[in-house]
Amino acid sequence: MKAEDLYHDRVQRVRVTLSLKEPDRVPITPWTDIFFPALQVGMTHKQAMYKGRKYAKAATKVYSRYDWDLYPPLLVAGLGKLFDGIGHSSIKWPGAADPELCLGDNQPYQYIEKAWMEPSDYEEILKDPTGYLLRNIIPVQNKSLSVFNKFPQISDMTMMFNGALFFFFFIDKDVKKLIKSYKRTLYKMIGGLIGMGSYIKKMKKRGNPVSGESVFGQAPFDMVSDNLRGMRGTMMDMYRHPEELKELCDRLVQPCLYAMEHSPLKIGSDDPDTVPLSFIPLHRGADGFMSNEQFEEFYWPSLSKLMDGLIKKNIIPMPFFEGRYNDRLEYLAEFAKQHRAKAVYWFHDTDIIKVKEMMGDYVTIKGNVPASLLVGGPPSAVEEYVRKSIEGCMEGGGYLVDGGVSGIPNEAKHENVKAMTDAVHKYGSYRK
Amino acid sequence: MDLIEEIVELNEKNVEQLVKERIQNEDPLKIMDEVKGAMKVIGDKFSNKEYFLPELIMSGEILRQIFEIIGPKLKDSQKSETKKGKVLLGTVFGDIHDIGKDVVKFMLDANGFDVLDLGVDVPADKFIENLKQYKPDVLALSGFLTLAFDSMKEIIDKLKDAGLRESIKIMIGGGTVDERIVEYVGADEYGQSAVDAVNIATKWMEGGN
Repeated sequence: MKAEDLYHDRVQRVRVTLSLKEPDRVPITPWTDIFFPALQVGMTHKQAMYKGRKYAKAATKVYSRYDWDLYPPLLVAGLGKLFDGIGHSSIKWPGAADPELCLGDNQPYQYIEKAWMEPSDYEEILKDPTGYLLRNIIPVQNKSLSVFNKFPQISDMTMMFNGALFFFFFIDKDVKKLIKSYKRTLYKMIGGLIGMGSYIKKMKKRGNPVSGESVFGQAPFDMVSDNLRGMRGTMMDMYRHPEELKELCDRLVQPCLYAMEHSPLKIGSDDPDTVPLSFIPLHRGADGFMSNEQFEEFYWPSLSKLMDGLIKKNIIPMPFFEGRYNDRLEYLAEFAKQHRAKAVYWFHDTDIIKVKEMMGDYVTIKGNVPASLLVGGPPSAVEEYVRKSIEGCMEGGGYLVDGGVSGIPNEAKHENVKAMTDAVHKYGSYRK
Repeated sequence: MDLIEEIVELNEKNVEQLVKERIQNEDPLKIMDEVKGAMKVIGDKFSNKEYFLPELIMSGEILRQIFEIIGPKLKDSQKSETKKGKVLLGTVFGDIHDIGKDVVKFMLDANGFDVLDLGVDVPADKFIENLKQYKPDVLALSGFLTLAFDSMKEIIDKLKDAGLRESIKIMIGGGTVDERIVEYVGADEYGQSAVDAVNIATKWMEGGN
């Protein structure tokens, strides 16, 4: 088959299943944890973070081994150089220039759990969330942006000659220094950026569609928990500052919606003839983190508002329900019923066959081959898991095969990933 | 006001006021006993899915405040007591996630275990060194990332090499860990939640397998 036709058929297969109709076969559309392709070719985690071009080449080579229907977007190749360049300090990663943030060469990047904002600042952030994030959080989490603490007051923009404010901000000597240093960072990253472009082109030439351009999103509660108050702080706020916390989650919906539509940092292929899925990894909403009453009060309202807003903008939200969501299925089903064929629910450790029964007529389900199988195998057990999942989820379309945690985990073995892929081709055909 | 009830209901202001009043003319040990009783109730509520992480975190915070008030009045000898068993706990090498591990620690504490928590990103040799010194009954390994599988395997392989494997029961848990990983790493049992961790450790201390 010509690569062009193969590409078209694959995209079509995914589109049909997303519309909750049966294509010729169940599609397989894995994402992978970002170090998977690197480890497969013998690169270290550190090299994956710093050798962007080599990383992109590895991704092209490794992903092309598998007969998939939609291929993963690459997160910024050469991420380490970017993080060093902006002085990012909310994660630790291998090879970081700042020794405080530097992990071993064979460790993946990991988030730092801490409170960046004190509860006494609720009043200020609620007055002007965007302004607070610009001046108080971004400069602290990105050392190169410390000068943003002088960012012009947004309310002044309504005044006469408002552009002048920006002019004077951008000729500030620290801002000029920042621009210069960013040019250097960009220069260092150029290999990775070229690599990302060539990944998409080469994949297309081979008939391999890469998932379309999109922006990551977060549940507003997770934005507060991960990036502002820390988990402990946020959960204490549920008792000590419940109204402020809820209001903040609600106020973060609009900025997040805007960012997911207009962000300059998009990942994936810009080809209009592919399928864009907006990845929303969820953290604190899982079973065990909070009760259903708390989920309903604190977590779900702003998340469902965000997903509803995305759908109204014709963006397909793909929330990733990490952990187990068995206790939350009623909420998920209700949303799906109100937004038929408009979202993809990606599951990690939730019983997807039960999900299919409850909401398969309304939403596409993705997942959930366990990491333990993709790492530990054996291939026969992987095959059996995929066979059962297909059997339970394929009816009527709306099922995409993928791994459970971040898709394919970093340490997955080739033979297990191959077994997962082969099983889809073996068992996934719809009888016509 | 009943101290146990106020702690269980997480009324931190009432608790603070009550403890401050009672410490004036009461034996701190008596207060401690009630605090422990309250923690046990909170642990039970967590097991019954009446309480979740926000409640554990709040109660941990309340406990900290109580210790600030009565800690200085407790003699060192009064702080120790007979425990159900000793558990050596930590997040394995390469992984810096601590939420799950901390919940396990809280629940083991609340259920009368003596827990030595080695923290996160703990190298295999540090586990082994502490195992020799602390002589725990149970080794509890936590990990969220998939790389934790191999870190857990390394620890257990090293224990086998050192001839220490048979002397200890090993349980594993964490975000991506499941029952299939027990065999892969050579552990004894997998726990899906902190409640499982308590049940497994209790079973082992009572001589079960």
